Amino acid sequence: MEFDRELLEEVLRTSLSGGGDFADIFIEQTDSSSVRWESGTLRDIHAGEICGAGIRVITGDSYAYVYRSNPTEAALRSLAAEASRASGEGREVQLRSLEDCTPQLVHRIERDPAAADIAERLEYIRRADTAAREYSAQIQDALITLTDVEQRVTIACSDGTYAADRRVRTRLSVNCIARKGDQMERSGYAPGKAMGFEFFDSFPPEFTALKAAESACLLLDADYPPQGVMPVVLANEFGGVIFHEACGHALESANVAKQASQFHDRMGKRIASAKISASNDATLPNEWGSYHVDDEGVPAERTQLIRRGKLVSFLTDRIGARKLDHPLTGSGRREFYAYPPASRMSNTFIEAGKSTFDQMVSGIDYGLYCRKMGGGSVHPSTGEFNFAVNEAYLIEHGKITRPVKGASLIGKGPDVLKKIEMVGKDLSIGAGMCGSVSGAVPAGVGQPAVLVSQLLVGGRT
Amino acid sequence: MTGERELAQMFEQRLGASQAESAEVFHQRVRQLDITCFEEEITGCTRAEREGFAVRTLRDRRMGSFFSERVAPDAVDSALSSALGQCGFFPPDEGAVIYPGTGELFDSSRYRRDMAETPLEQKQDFTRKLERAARALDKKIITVPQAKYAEYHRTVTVVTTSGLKKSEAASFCGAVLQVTAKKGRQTHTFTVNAASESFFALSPLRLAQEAVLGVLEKMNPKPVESGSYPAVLSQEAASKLLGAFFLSPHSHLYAENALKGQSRFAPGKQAASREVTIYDNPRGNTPFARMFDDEGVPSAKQMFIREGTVTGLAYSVSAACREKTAPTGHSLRGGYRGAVSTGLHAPCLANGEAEPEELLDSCREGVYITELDGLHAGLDPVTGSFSLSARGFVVHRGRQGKPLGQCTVAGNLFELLSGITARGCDRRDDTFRRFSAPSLLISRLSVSS
Repeated sequence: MEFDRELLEEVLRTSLSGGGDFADIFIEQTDSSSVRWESGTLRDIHAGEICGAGIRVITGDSYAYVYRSNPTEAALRSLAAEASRASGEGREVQLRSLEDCTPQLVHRIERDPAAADIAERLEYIRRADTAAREYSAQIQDALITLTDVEQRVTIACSDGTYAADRRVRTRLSVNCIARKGDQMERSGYAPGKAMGFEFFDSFPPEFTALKAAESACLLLDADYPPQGVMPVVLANEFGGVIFHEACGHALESANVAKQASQFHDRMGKRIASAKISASNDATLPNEWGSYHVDDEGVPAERTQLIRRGKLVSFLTDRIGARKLDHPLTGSGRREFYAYPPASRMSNTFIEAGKSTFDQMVSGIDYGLYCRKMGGGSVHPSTGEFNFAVNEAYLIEHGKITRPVKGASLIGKGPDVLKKIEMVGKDLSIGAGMCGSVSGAVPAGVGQPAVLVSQLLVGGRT
Repeated sequence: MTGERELAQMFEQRLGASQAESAEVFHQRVRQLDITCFEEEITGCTRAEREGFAVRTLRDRRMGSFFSERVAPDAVDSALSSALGQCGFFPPDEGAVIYPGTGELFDSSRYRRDMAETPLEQKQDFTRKLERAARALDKKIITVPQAKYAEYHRTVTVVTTSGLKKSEAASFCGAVLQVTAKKGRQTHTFTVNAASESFFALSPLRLAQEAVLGVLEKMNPKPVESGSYPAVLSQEAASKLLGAFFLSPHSHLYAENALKGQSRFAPGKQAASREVTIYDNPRGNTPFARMFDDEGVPSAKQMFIREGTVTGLAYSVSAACREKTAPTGHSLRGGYRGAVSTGLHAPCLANGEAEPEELLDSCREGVYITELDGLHAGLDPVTGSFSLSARGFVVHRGRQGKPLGQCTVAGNLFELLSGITARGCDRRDDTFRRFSAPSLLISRLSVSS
């Protein structure tokens, strides 16, 4: 599904004929494969392709967006006419000739999943299944999903931007169910990278399976956590979900522009402990949330969000940048062509600090060490967040002691950022899917281990 | 349904030409409209049309599948070929079956032409009114982050080699309103939604009143001492919590999970208090109503738990085949991009007779939980344990008391079901929630604050 630039220029011209002041075209072809394994056997293979195009016309701070699947040249022309009718009156725009702005290739793919057959995929999965079951007789089942996606996008804009991106991602998810008598526990691990199957060189299936199996078995012997406010050490990697939720969403221009963010009027001011510097970076080579250009044709970049506790940037899409008079940060993202783009995080992380893990734990008389975080959510307007903790341990008299299960953490973003007392050296980034106004997008979340002096831990009595 | 008849005929021809022993095409066409408003301006208007299909093929009891958005005869042939190519990788499976039912059905009784014929400007005006009404109701409303009207028209077609040709068109619309209020240093937010088969049944003022009342009630919250309390779950909170468990792929109501030994529910077993009756009503008046499921099996009202005792489970064609019983019409695939799995259409926990105020009166001293967050991560559908962020009120002397600050509630689904001592009469069918429940009085719930 390729369209020549002359046609795209004509479509952009038609789109703006009703009076909008910016137009863009997003064309997508995505091939995906998801192989699911359960109860020691292949459960299903879900493979297929989507292809579609969307045209957006921006007038002032508003947009009209039209899209359809399987677009032909005639369909693109028809969509342009519809977008033009739906847009409001804007200033007259001089349409620029399209020029290729595609950045240099950073995220190289070594072993293209498209070249791998189902047998190769099953081999990775079998290795994971064997490793999980061999870990312990308590492992009753391993639910394994190998997903690979190749998304090819082309973006053409009325300001002359023409960019293309090929995004290949591979992810292996292993969920283990452990059983002891009538008790059943489940835990999983699901690393992913913007890579082909060279992903398995860094994350062998056995490694992923063992992490899941170890965690599920550990939960069989875990007690419920204590309740109340206490010091909490959050492990590196997916522990970064706390920053993603507690702060990241509130820095997205879609929320800031509507004053639906606790940080909307805090630019240049202190919003976090001076030990905190944080960034969003879509250029990290082959990282889960990385890309070359965003879904608005803007080159990916590293954006410093917080520098030594002070807010220094928001994350913007084109409309958000207009509304806030803020630079573009290459953060316009969408799940697929059925969503207009919105400001979203790519790989967001707290930067490495100077403390060691031992320094964090040794000073705590009674607290919680959260080794493995689950997902979370936030109300950007109020900053109230919540996270599930999948694997945690008590900290007693400066030492990590018993495992606990079923804990959750709640609080307010602006409060917790100020209560981070120590930041470790071991920065690492985990893979997650972030759901918001423009759908579910791959998002890297990361941090070194951090010590929060006070967090409310919820659990059962 | 003229277009769907021709489409079904095309699919039937391509299936007939394939090498599969039996095969199925699932096709979905979606037309969608989203309008958003902020500060009286229509800030976004999305209009869309999208379609695609998925095929499944069977050879030697092995099932392959493929989906595509290229709806054309050659693309169907190609998809069938790709699906057949997968079959050899599967071991033979007695549950690998294409529904052998037959018959034709082309139903458009739930398609609303009036919605499609209402001018766009009228819908944009509705969205402006929604935001305006919220802002006008109280000066403490500082922003309305979300004022949205949405409209959804969907046509599902299933065709199989056994001679089944079914198509169903439906449409519904809805609105979402989120308001943020500020008083001194406090900021609170509250979100409401409504869904209907008719544009004219949506009331911007009613939604605005509900949202503004909801956010203002949260002002001046107080922490509650951590502990275990008698609790009332509002219909919203109960619907969210039970829906997160019973609509999960690991739902204990699904026969396929029972077959794997991962369900605590078995017919005849006492699984909940006598207050609990749970059933699915796909022929009801909800946005999720269906004439047939995504494998073409007719849908019908199905009882799962009656007065606490399990009476049946939900069977996809595959699970029914393994247990040598009849499917219950509970296969859903979340569109052509999704895999076939067991799902419920419009399940609910049946209404009781008590007004919510009567439940508070019975509770006497405890907590009234009205909002729950973090359900996608804070619960384990297999074990039933949950630990979630919550908001609500203290219940004091049988009345709604002071608002609670953000707290966590924790427990276990099965203990909670056994601990339901009374039900409200306030279950709602007019929201975007697939699972609906009335307010519930619970004997104990752990609260941390």
